[in-house]
Amino acid sequence: MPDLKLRQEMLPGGIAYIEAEGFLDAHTFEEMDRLVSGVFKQNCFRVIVKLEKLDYISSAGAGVFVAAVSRSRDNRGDIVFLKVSPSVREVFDLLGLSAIFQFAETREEAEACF
Amino acid sequence: MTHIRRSLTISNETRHLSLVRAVVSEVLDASTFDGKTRNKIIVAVDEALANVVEHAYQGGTGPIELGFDLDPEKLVVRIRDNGVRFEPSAARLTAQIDIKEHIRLGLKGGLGLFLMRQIMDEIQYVHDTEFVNELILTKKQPPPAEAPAGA
Repeated sequence: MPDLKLRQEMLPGGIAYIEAEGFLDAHTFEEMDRLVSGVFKQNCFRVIVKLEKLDYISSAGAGVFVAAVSRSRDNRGDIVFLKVSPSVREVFDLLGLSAIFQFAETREEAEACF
Repeated sequence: MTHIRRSLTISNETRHLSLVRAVVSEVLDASTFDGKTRNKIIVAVDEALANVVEHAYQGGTGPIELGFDLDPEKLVVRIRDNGVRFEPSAARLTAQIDIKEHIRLGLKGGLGLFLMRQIMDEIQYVHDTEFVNELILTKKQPPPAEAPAGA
Protein backbone atom coordinates (compact mmCIF):
# COMPACT_ATOMS: atom_id res chain seq x y z
CA MET A 1 0.00 0.00 0.00
CA PRO A 2 1.34 3.45 -0.85
CA ASP A 3 1.92 5.85 2.06
CA LEU A 4 -0.79 8.18 0.79
CA LYS A 5 -3.71 7.43 -1.51
CA LEU A 6 -5.67 10.34 -2.97
CA ARG A 7 -8.86 10.42 -5.00
CA GLN A 8 -10.52 13.49 -6.44
CA GLU A 9 -13.79 14.17 -8.25
CA MET A 10 -15.97 17.17 -9.05
CA LEU A 11 -19.41 17.37 -7.44
CA PRO A 12 -22.37 19.23 -8.93
CA GLY A 13 -22.24 22.91 -8.02
CA GLY A 14 -18.52 23.23 -8.71
CA ILE A 15 -17.34 21.67 -5.47
CA ALA A 16 -14.16 19.60 -5.54
CA TYR A 17 -14.22 16.42 -3.44
CA ILE A 18 -10.97 14.85 -2.24
CA GLU A 19 -10.52 11.62 -0.29
CA ALA A 20 -7.24 10.92 1.47
CA GLU A 21 -6.13 7.58 2.89
CA GLY A 22 -2.94 6.59 4.71
CA PHE A 23 -0.26 8.97 5.98
CA LEU A 24 0.03 12.69 5.27
CA ASP A 25 3.51 13.50 6.55
CA ALA A 26 6.77 15.18 5.52
CA HIS A 27 7.22 12.42 2.93
CA THR A 28 3.81 12.69 1.23
CA PHE A 29 2.54 16.25 1.81
CA GLU A 30 3.71 17.44 -1.61
CA GLU A 31 1.28 15.02 -3.30
CA MET A 32 -1.63 16.63 -1.44
CA ASP A 33 -0.21 20.08 -2.14
CA ARG A 34 -0.06 19.35 -5.88
CA LEU A 35 -3.61 17.99 -5.91
CA VAL A 36 -5.07 21.01 -4.07
CA SER A 37 -3.06 23.44 -6.23
CA GLY A 38 -4.45 21.70 -9.33
CA VAL A 39 -8.01 22.19 -8.04
CA PHE A 40 -7.34 25.89 -7.35
CA LYS A 41 -5.86 26.28 -10.86
CA GLN A 42 -9.27 25.33 -12.23
CA ASN A 43 -10.68 28.30 -10.29
CA CYS A 44 -12.41 25.96 -7.87
CA PHE A 45 -12.11 27.19 -4.29
CA ARG A 46 -14.88 25.19 -2.63
CA VAL A 47 -13.37 21.92 -1.53
CA ILE A 48 -14.51 19.00 0.63
CA VAL A 49 -11.68 16.85 2.01
CA LYS A 50 -12.66 13.50 3.49
CA LEU A 51 -10.18 12.32 6.12
CA GLU A 52 -11.97 9.28 7.53
CA LYS A 53 -9.23 6.91 6.39
CA LEU A 54 -6.31 9.23 6.97
CA ASP A 55 -4.45 7.47 9.78
CA TYR A 56 -1.78 10.06 10.38
CA ILE A 57 -1.06 13.74 9.80
CA SER A 58 2.04 15.71 10.75
CA SER A 59 2.57 19.47 10.76
CA ALA A 60 3.76 19.25 7.14
CA GLY A 61 0.39 17.81 6.16
CA ALA A 62 -1.57 20.23 8.33
CA GLY A 63 0.49 23.05 6.81
CA VAL A 64 -0.86 22.19 3.36
CA PHE A 65 -4.40 22.68 4.70
CA VAL A 66 -3.49 25.90 6.55
CA ALA A 67 -2.23 27.43 3.30
CA ALA A 68 -5.11 25.97 1.28
CA VAL A 69 -7.82 27.25 3.66
CA SER A 70 -6.20 30.67 3.48
CA ARG A 71 -6.14 30.67 -0.34
CA SER A 72 -9.70 29.34 -0.71
CA ARG A 73 -11.14 31.89 1.75
CA ASP A 74 -9.30 34.67 -0.10
CA ASN A 75 -11.25 33.52 -3.16
CA ARG A 76 -14.67 33.34 -1.46
CA GLY A 77 -14.45 29.62 -0.98
CA ASP A 78 -13.48 27.32 1.86
CA ILE A 79 -12.31 23.83 2.67
CA VAL A 80 -14.65 21.62 4.69
CA PHE A 81 -13.16 18.57 6.40
CA LEU A 82 -15.44 15.55 6.32
CA LYS A 83 -15.37 12.69 8.85
CA VAL A 84 -11.95 13.46 10.27
CA SER A 85 -10.31 10.45 11.96
CA PRO A 86 -9.68 10.85 15.73
CA SER A 87 -5.88 10.82 15.42
CA VAL A 88 -5.95 13.57 12.78
CA ARG A 89 -8.46 15.59 14.80
CA GLU A 90 -6.07 15.38 17.75
CA VAL A 91 -3.32 17.10 15.74
CA PHE A 92 -5.77 19.76 14.49
CA ASP A 93 -6.74 20.34 18.15
CA LEU A 94 -3.10 20.68 19.26
CA LEU A 95 -2.45 23.24 16.52
CA GLY A 96 -5.60 25.21 17.34
CA LEU A 97 -7.02 24.45 13.89
CA SER A 98 -10.25 22.84 15.14
CA ALA A 99 -11.58 26.28 16.09
CA ILE A 100 -10.77 27.69 12.65
CA PHE A 101 -11.47 24.92 10.14
CA GLN A 102 -14.99 23.81 9.16
CA PHE A 103 -15.97 20.20 9.86
CA ALA A 104 -18.87 17.98 8.79
CA GLU A 105 -20.00 14.42 9.42
CA THR A 106 -21.98 13.87 6.20
CA ARG A 107 -21.44 14.93 2.61
CA GLU A 108 -24.75 16.83 2.61
CA GLU A 109 -23.72 18.69 5.74
CA ALA A 110 -20.36 19.50 4.13
CA GLU A 111 -22.00 20.82 0.94
CA ALA A 112 -24.32 23.01 3.04
CA CYS A 113 -21.28 24.72 4.61
CA PHE A 114 -20.59 26.73 1.42
CA MET B 1 8.31 -2.66 34.94
CA THR B 2 10.39 -3.35 31.90
CA HIS B 3 13.22 -1.16 30.76
CA ILE B 4 13.32 -0.98 26.99
CA ARG B 5 16.13 0.25 24.81
CA ARG B 6 15.94 0.42 21.03
CA SER B 7 18.19 2.09 18.51
CA LEU B 8 18.27 2.39 14.77
CA THR B 9 20.12 4.35 12.12
CA ILE B 10 18.47 5.72 9.01
CA SER B 11 19.62 7.85 6.09
CA ASN B 12 18.24 11.38 5.93
CA GLU B 13 15.26 10.53 3.72
CA THR B 14 11.62 11.22 4.52
CA ARG B 15 10.61 7.76 3.26
CA HIS B 16 11.94 6.35 6.56
CA LEU B 17 9.55 8.40 8.70
CA SER B 18 6.76 5.81 8.67
CA LEU B 19 9.19 3.06 9.75
CA VAL B 20 10.38 5.17 12.68
CA ARG B 21 6.78 5.91 13.71
CA ALA B 22 6.18 2.14 13.80
CA VAL B 23 9.25 1.64 16.02
CA VAL B 24 8.11 4.39 18.40
CA SER B 25 4.68 2.75 18.55
CA GLU B 26 6.27 -0.60 19.47
CA VAL B 27 8.34 0.97 22.24
CA LEU B 28 5.24 2.76 23.58
CA ASP B 29 3.32 -0.53 23.73
CA ALA B 30 5.36 -1.29 26.85
CA SER B 31 4.62 2.09 28.46
CA THR B 32 1.87 3.32 30.79
CA PHE B 33 0.92 6.20 28.50
CA ASP B 34 -2.71 6.13 27.37
CA GLY B 35 -3.59 5.73 23.70
CA LYS B 36 -4.04 9.45 23.03
CA THR B 37 -0.71 10.31 24.62
CA ARG B 38 1.03 7.55 22.65
CA ASN B 39 -0.31 9.01 19.40
CA LYS B 40 0.88 12.46 20.42
CA ILE B 41 4.37 11.19 21.28
CA ILE B 42 4.57 9.54 17.84
CA VAL B 43 3.71 12.94 16.33
CA ALA B 44 6.38 14.71 18.41
CA VAL B 45 9.13 12.24 17.42
CA ASP B 46 8.04 12.39 13.77
CA GLU B 47 8.18 16.21 13.83
CA ALA B 48 11.63 16.22 15.43
CA LEU B 49 12.98 13.66 12.98
CA ALA B 50 11.40 15.36 9.94
CA ASN B 51 13.22 18.59 10.91
CA VAL B 52 16.55 16.78 11.22
CA VAL B 53 16.01 14.92 7.91
CA GLU B 54 15.24 18.20 6.15
CA HIS B 55 17.93 20.42 7.62
CA ALA B 56 20.86 18.45 9.06
CA TYR B 57 22.80 17.66 5.90
CA GLN B 58 21.71 20.73 3.88
CA GLY B 59 20.91 18.93 0.63
CA GLY B 60 23.59 16.25 1.11
CA THR B 61 23.18 12.78 2.55
CA GLY B 62 24.15 11.37 5.91
CA PRO B 63 23.07 9.06 8.71
CA ILE B 64 20.71 9.87 11.56
CA GLU B 65 20.90 7.77 14.68
CA LEU B 66 17.84 7.26 16.87
CA GLY B 67 17.75 5.96 20.42
CA PHE B 68 14.67 5.13 22.51
CA ASP B 69 14.99 4.55 26.22
CA LEU B 70 11.86 3.70 28.21
CA ASP B 71 12.33 3.28 31.94
CA PRO B 72 9.61 3.19 34.64
CA GLU B 73 9.71 6.96 34.99
CA LYS B 74 10.11 8.36 31.51
CA LEU B 75 10.63 7.96 27.80
CA VAL B 76 13.80 9.53 26.39
CA VAL B 77 14.25 9.83 22.62
CA ARG B 78 17.61 10.83 21.17
CA ILE B 79 18.06 11.96 17.56
CA ARG B 80 21.70 12.41 16.55
CA ASP B 81 23.37 13.60 13.40
CA ASN B 82 26.73 14.83 12.16
CA GLY B 83 25.42 17.51 9.84
CA VAL B 84 25.43 21.28 10.24
CA ARG B 85 25.38 22.50 13.84
CA PHE B 86 21.88 23.59 14.79
CA GLU B 87 21.31 25.87 17.76
CA PRO B 88 17.81 27.34 17.88
CA SER B 89 17.51 30.55 19.85
CA ALA B 90 15.70 30.52 23.19
CA ALA B 91 13.08 32.75 21.57
CA ARG B 92 12.45 30.20 18.85
CA LEU B 93 12.21 27.38 21.37
CA THR B 94 9.55 29.18 23.37
CA ALA B 95 7.72 31.06 20.61
CA GLN B 96 3.95 30.76 20.59
CA ILE B 97 2.12 30.17 17.34
CA ASP B 98 -0.70 32.46 16.26
CA ILE B 99 -2.53 30.01 14.04
CA LYS B 100 -5.00 32.65 12.84
CA GLU B 101 -2.04 34.69 11.61
CA HIS B 102 -0.62 31.59 9.91
CA ILE B 103 -3.88 31.18 8.04
CA ARG B 104 -4.13 34.89 7.20
CA LEU B 105 -0.64 34.75 5.70
CA GLY B 106 -1.12 31.30 4.16
CA LEU B 107 2.02 29.94 5.89
CA LYS B 108 2.72 26.23 5.54
CA GLY B 109 5.66 25.75 7.89
CA GLY B 110 6.80 26.54 11.40
CA LEU B 111 4.34 24.28 13.18
CA GLY B 112 6.56 21.29 13.98
CA LEU B 113 8.56 22.69 16.89
CA PHE B 114 5.34 24.11 18.37
CA LEU B 115 3.76 20.65 18.27
CA MET B 116 6.84 19.04 19.85
CA ARG B 117 6.70 21.54 22.71
CA GLN B 118 3.00 21.00 23.25
CA ILE B 119 3.49 17.25 23.58
CA MET B 120 6.84 16.58 25.27
CA ASP B 121 7.94 17.62 28.77
CA GLU B 122 11.45 18.57 27.73
CA ILE B 123 13.27 19.35 24.49
CA GLN B 124 17.03 19.75 24.61
CA TYR B 125 19.58 20.47 21.91
CA VAL B 126 22.98 19.11 22.95
CA HIS B 127 26.33 19.60 21.20
CA ASP B 128 29.94 18.65 21.63
CA THR B 129 29.28 14.98 22.24
CA GLU B 130 30.48 12.44 19.68
CA PHE B 131 27.77 13.93 17.45
CA VAL B 132 27.44 17.44 16.06
CA ASN B 133 23.78 17.60 17.04
CA GLU B 134 21.82 15.62 19.56
CA LEU B 135 18.16 16.38 20.12
CA ILE B 136 16.73 14.85 23.29
CA LEU B 137 12.97 14.59 23.83
CA THR B 138 11.69 13.51 27.24
CA LYS B 139 8.19 12.57 28.44
CA LYS B 140 7.44 11.49 32.01
CA GLN B 141 5.35 8.34 32.37
CA PRO B 142 2.32 8.11 34.64
CA PRO B 143 2.76 5.58 37.47
CA PRO B 144 1.51 2.11 36.45
CA ALA B 145 -0.93 1.64 39.34
CA GLU B 146 -2.63 5.01 38.91
CA ALA B 147 -6.39 4.61 39.34
CA PRO B 148 -8.55 6.27 36.68
CA ALA B 149 -10.13 9.56 37.73
CA GLY B 150 -13.46 9.09 39.47
CA ALA B 151 -12.88 5.36 40.12
